[in-house]
Amino acid sequence: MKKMMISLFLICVPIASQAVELCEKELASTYSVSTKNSQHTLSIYFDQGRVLQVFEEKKLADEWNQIPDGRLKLTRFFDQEKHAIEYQPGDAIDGGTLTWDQINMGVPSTVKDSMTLVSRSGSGCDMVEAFQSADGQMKFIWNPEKKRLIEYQTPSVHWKLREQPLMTSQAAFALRDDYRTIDYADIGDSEDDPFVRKMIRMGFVSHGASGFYDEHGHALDGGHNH
Amino acid sequence: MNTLNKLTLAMLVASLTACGGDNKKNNTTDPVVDNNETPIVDKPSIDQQAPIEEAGLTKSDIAVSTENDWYKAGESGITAAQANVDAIIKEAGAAKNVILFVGDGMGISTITAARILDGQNKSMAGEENSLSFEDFPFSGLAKTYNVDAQTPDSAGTMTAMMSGIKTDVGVIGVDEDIVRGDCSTVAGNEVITALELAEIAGKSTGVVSTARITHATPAATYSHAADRNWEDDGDMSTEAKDAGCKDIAAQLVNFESELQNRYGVSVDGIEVVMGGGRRSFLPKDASFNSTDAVSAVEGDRTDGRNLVEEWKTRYSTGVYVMDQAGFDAVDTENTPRLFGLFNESHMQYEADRGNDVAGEPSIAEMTEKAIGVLDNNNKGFFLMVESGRIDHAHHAGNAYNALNDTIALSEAIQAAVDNTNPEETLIIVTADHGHVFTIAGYPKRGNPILGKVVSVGATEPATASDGMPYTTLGYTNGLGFRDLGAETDADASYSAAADAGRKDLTSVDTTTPGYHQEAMIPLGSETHSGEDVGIFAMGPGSHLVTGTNEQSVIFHVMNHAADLVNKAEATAN
Repeated sequence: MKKMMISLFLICVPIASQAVELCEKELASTYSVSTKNSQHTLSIYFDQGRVLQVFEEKKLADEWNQIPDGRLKLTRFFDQEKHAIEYQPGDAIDGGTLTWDQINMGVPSTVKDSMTLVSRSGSGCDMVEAFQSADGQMKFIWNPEKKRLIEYQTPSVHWKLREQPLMTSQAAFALRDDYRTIDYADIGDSEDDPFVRKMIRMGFVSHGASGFYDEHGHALDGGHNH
Repeated sequence: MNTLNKLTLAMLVASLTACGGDNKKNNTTDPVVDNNETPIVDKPSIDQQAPIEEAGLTKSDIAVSTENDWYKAGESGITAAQANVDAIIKEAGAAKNVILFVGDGMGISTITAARILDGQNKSMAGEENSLSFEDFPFSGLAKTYNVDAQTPDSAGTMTAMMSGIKTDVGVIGVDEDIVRGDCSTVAGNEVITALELAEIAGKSTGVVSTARITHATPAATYSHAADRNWEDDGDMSTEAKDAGCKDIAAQLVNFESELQNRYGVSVDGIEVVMGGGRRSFLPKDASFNSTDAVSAVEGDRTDGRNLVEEWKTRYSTGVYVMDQAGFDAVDTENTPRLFGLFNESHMQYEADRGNDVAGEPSIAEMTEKAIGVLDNNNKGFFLMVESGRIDHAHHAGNAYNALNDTIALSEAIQAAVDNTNPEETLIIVTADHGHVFTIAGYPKRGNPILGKVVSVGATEPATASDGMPYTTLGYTNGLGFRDLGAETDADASYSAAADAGRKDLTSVDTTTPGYHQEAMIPLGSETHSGEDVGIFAMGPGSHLVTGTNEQSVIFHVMNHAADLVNKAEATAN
């Protein structure tokens, strides 16, 4: 069990100390995401306040960080073109309703609010909670201490944590470290860049952290909360 | 109240004229209009009526015309224009100071719409309003095309304005013999800029922008690069770096030594630099993050250099600031040098400044502060001020921010007028290029410029052939319709695919900051236009701004007014 114990007053008053448990974050998680018509692989990596969501099949990745006033900042990586676009904090990506919680887990933990806790197993950093909707069609299983999604199921989408992540967090961030990055606001002045030209032609299609789309490009309802 | 403001402005202009420069309209000639009412003007003189009588007409024959206030206003305007021509200081070198204002992407339609919005913000009908620089006595047009492009970009156009030499799209401070992105073609093709000439001539120099200070427009004042994107070493190819080319941020911090080496002259470096773009000056290492960094790793430099610290070391008496509090604390009379980097990328849109983490000064505040530092030199100064985000708002298809940043620029220009002597300061206001931004339909007088078209005599929005209402403002191409409500960051629009064509705006408030106008042709970003842009000028030599010119003529106006080449040569020798 990966556990870090931080004991307050450990030296001065060991007997009266109040132990605070902090569970070490899993730095890499990979999910299999199934919709009615497709299969996807989403990996979530963490590094010093940054969260990287990698959409394997789409060859896209979103790096998020939260600035002190709470706004979210996104850098979107295009793996095929080895390019990235950096957005300003607070830009209304995906309708502006993405939360830090959702970015960290892929699915917002608030989805469980409409469900009932049906089981709790393990303890401390290994605790696992399972929630289920009244009709049994929706299921949410997570590790609440590590804020890690284990499984999420609705009638239209199914998330399942894989045994092993596709790569380490360090490797995932390093892979994209040298991409050419341009500022969001500079797109209009970057016509010389073949990547930007292509994007200008095609439009900057939002794919979203939780955004798995149907064959018509419509976001799947129930698969995310925006 | 508005009439009073206008009269106050007119009196200010008159007082400036009375100081001896006499190169602006006087207060007896500028028509003053309040809302939809007729202009208030002085009566024409007897002399002005004489030609009418000589033609066999009596005053009463054409009284309907001559007693009309619009007629009188125009007549007085002619008198003022004649007085301006007579009074202007034409001698070469009469301008001790030169200030060039550039509204990036501020085409004619942008000025018109901003003028109306500014007026409406002041409870006027709007159309009769004037932005500060529209009261300047001389104006003309500039043809903006680049040597290799019908529709230009900021790099080529600003190079033309700063050096007198038109060049290719995308290159900075080099002539058309350059091959974009090829470092080996830079050497020998660098052109000297007005700022460099002013520096050699012993004047103080300054560069201010609301964009990154390494962005194309400000960069063209002080740097020379085969690609506008070489803002820091991380943006350059290994080949370019190995071939000895320097990134734009490094050129800024090393400006003094680079200029000395290139021309064998003695200079003291740029006194004032303010804008955004901190990322290009800091190492790509989180430990160098500023206190208001918004990226996990703020810096972009891969060579490990901290150019902010290098600047501080080189100019130990200079002041570096990165937020509003630091800016406010600068005492201009005791600050020989000022370096302000207020954002890791571009500074905020004027309407979005309140959302900045550590606070940023307005463009007017920066202009006033810059002049306060620069005018401590009795040899005068050269200052370039760019409103860089008009362009970005247009690219995002958001008129609200484009117009509000234009109004902010107008306020900065007024600050320059208020803080300089018109007898010795040439002020030029222009744009590098326009945008595909239109004012269309037949809205009635005073109709909200950001609103839907309401026809003359009507109270409800007019409808198009498709039965839906439409806005006065629109774009020929771009992302098209967005309804982001109170969102003040124009760039927020890019997060979804282009949505061009007609939309039902019946229940949409098109005057909100987050509304993005409809566009005809779907593109991921709205584009520049190839039309001419305006040039507005006051002060010594401003009479040379007239007619339709190659954009490169702007350099020559500045050069004539301040005699930059001759003074630089005299100082160098």
